[in-house]
Amino acid sequence: MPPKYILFPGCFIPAMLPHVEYCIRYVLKTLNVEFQEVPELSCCPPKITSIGDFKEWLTISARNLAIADKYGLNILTPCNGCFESFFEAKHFLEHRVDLSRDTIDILKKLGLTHEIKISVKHFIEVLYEDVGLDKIAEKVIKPLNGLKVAVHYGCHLFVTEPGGDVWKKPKMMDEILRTLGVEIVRDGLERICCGFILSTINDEKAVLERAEVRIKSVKSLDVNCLVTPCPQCHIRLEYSQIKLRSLKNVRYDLPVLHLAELVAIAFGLDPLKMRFDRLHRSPVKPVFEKLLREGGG
Amino acid sequence: MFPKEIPSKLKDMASEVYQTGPSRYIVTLSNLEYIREASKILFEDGFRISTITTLDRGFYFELLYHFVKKNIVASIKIILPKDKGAVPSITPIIPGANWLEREIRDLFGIEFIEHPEPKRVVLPPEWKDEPPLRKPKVPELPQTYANYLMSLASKAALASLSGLAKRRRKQMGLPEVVTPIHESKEVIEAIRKISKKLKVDRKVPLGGE
Repeated sequence: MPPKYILFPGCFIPAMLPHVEYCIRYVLKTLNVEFQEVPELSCCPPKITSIGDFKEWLTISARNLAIADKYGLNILTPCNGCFESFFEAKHFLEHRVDLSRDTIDILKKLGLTHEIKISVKHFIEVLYEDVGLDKIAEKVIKPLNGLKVAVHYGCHLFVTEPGGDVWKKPKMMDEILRTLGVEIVRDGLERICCGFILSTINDEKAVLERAEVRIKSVKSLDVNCLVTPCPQCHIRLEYSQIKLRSLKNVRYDLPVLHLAELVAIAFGLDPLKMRFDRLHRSPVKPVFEKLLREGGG
Repeated sequence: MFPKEIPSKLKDMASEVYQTGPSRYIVTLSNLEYIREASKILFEDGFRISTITTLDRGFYFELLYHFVKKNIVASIKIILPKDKGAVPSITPIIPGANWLEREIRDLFGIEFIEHPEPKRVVLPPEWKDEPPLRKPKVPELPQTYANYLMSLASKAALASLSGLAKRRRKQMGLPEVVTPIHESKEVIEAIRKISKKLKVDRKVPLGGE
């Protein structure tokens, strides 16, 4: 039985991708992963806010970590951005006292610790390390055999300790997909950025020089859809396809799905009954229909 | 520890002191009203005014009064909110600051209170435009990043649940309100306090004030 967690869905998933949140909760419930929500927590906030003010980013992130530490529960987040923010804030608190001095002072005044003992776990790590592939395989009632996908891991899934294996979590995601019966097709551009960060400065450049490069490449492969574990990538890769229609009058019609959706479908969730296709901005209905028709094959 | 090269009388007026090189110090005054008193202390200790630098930070000006004594450089920093726009003149104490302050008045539109000769020195008398180096009162940060900081201070999150999102969540049986976009008053207050403590309000308006 995996330990209990604090579920931290982040801002983007609850506000913009409720279907993904539904799937995450469905998967965790199916796998008997216990979690609780902590109302004292704030936005992670994403590392990009450190451009505005580094100490502000570090202190708010550290406050969340310190509150989780008070509960003695590891944080489970399905968001790559939140994962990166917490992971790096913990690293700064432990290894860069020179940059954390003001943060530590503020935490002390708030009656919180800066010695964080809890860990931050990505949804993928919880599934792979704490639940295990065997348990996942046991719960699969609708194997996704015959589904060919391209993967888009998202830059922040490669965040690791200095000197660590950056491919550790991406490989875990591959293994989870294979356990569901999915075939992964490669194009060699799995690490390209979706353009989310660049879009904060130049949206058009982000669409044309990041998202389109990846979408075009995946479109040339023989795959049914693109799968990502990152909400920002999910939003950007769907939005960019709409933007490209007006920018270049080009339609890619590449379905983009979140990893949690595929796991939930394999665990028996009916996405069409839940009308998930209406919440996507890419044409996912044919993929859902294929899975419901051929799943279990 | 307060540097021994700087007169210790400045200690009570300083909110921050740091060293940027050998015998090179930046002393930030906790209140801009202390500038005349601080200048007097330094002047009487043998420091002379070298120059005054003005930085337009969008919402506020940063004035650095550079004092020199042999190889020691002590820069006294004051923060002047743009709304205030006036600072005590040090010319009555140090006459050599006369043209320095008038130049700043011309170029940035900052008034120096009790300046004995508040006349133009750089700009021609017929100049009618805004002071040429004064920027509009906008956050110093690019708008996107300023928005992030303002959003954190106003709702402790970068996104909020729209009416549509709430309806969709309800239809799906998801909790109507969810951490961290719950917009809890207590959490927003905690984040705003952190932001103020870190002086983020010097970069962006934090709202509700």
